[in-house]
Amino acid sequence: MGSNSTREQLAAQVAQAPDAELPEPVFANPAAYRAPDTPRQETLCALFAEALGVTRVGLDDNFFDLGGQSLNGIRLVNLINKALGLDLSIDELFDFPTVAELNQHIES
Amino acid sequence: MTTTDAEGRAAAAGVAPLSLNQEFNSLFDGGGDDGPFGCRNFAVGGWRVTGGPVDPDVLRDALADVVARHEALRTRIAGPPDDRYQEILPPSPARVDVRDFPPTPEASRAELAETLLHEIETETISAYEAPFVRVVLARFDDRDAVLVLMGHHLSVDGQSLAVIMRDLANRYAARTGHSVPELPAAPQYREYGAWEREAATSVVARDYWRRHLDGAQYTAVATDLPRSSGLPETTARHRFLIPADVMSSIDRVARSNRTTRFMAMAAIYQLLVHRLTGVTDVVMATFTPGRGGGLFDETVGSLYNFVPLRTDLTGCASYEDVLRRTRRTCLEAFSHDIPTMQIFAEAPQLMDSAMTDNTTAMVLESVPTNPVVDAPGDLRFVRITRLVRSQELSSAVPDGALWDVNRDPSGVGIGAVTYKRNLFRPDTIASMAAEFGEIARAFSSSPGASPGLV
Repeated sequence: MGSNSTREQLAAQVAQAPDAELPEPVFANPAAYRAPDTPRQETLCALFAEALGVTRVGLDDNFFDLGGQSLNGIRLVNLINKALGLDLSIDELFDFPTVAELNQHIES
Repeated sequence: MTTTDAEGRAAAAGVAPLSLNQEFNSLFDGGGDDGPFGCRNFAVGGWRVTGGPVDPDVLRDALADVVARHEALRTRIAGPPDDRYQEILPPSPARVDVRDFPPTPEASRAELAETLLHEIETETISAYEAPFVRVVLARFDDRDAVLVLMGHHLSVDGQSLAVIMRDLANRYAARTGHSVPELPAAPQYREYGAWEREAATSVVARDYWRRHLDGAQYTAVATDLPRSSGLPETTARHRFLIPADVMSSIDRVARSNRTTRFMAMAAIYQLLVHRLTGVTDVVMATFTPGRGGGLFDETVGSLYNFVPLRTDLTGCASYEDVLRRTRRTCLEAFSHDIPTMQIFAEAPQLMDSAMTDNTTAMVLESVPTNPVVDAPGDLRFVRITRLVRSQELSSAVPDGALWDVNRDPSGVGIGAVTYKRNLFRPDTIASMAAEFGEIARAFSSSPGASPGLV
């Protein structure tokens, strides 16, 4: 798992060549994309995407890789709690930072 | 929003009470150019603009659209010091200065752009003569220019600069015949002020701060020069670099402990403060965006919030112990992010330690930003982040010192310590920065090692 977010890698390309043509940004590794199966997984993926401002989130995408910080994390937890009627804390998101992990944590 | 809508709003212009952020700013009001109401208290940013020529007249009109759209850019603080209020003025034209660089090869342009930014930072902007934003356009050639945006800090904070730039690029594209997306709805700053007073607080958050800051004293640092020496206030900036390999290792340590880079920076910074002062129960602070968890992301104004971070380092056996405690501190504090004035009300003693004749407060911020502006049309706007030189004269800080450490897109960490020159000697700040760098290196290479508490 890389230490830089995809967003930062894109920014690095732009900074090195401000006038160059850039590929379309893809904020998740398409080879690793695993689609959600259940309605709850779908909801979680959609809310991750909304709170983090990215186009598509799969089960294995990691909150931190997607540009997650404390403040958008708090927003995300609020969205999840509202949508799913839960009482998750920001600590739980940080400890279970992928949709798959968080989904499993909610189940147990 | 169309210009017509914005003009309609402007017709309803009037007065409003101060926001709590403006009250916070007023706490530091000692008058003078370097004070909160002074002409040296501004936010400034530079963008490289490529892809085509920039027409100064169109840019001027586009900036007028932005001033019409955001009341804060034409709202001044009026009234005597004990009875201040906001006065919202009608839209008026903003200043756009145009300069031309001498012919410069591509490889030297970034350096010239940094020099330009530093020069502009020695200039001023009035807190009383609207509008409170201005632009300098400096051209390398007809496909490459630098755009510098300056706003008085009572009207424009760091996040507002990015909002203004996005809006300006949108309006410029619209005025040059491009089809542009509609800008998102932007609540006005006075709505933010009303929200702060009516809805920002919570009993739970107030209770949290009362318990958490019970008896706490801000961990102030000793100044070189006492306040009573009466030197005129000015502000300088020291910059230092953290190698890319150290930054990458910090990110890895942060990730393996499920923390953010900010938390790692805060852990390193707390260890610095501990070494400077010998204090183990460290109380520092940072600035959050203060935007109501997203309600006011599109608002221009001074919205940032000063949030105390208290971490007791007693018994930490490793750097990672410090990091884990810092994570706890940050997640709790950010979950209870209410306006500073409400936090101070629960801990009235908090800042006394930092206001003595020979002590002051330092603050840390580290905000990851996306340098690429979401701009329709032909032009590309990229924020200039690689600023590496120190400055003898910079935009003002309210007191003490503000530390800002960020990862540049090149991978290098760039630290900036903006400090009151009338309180600190440059050597003192430089040696603090060097010590921060040493702690960062040790933290990143041996996270399990002892943090060397005094």
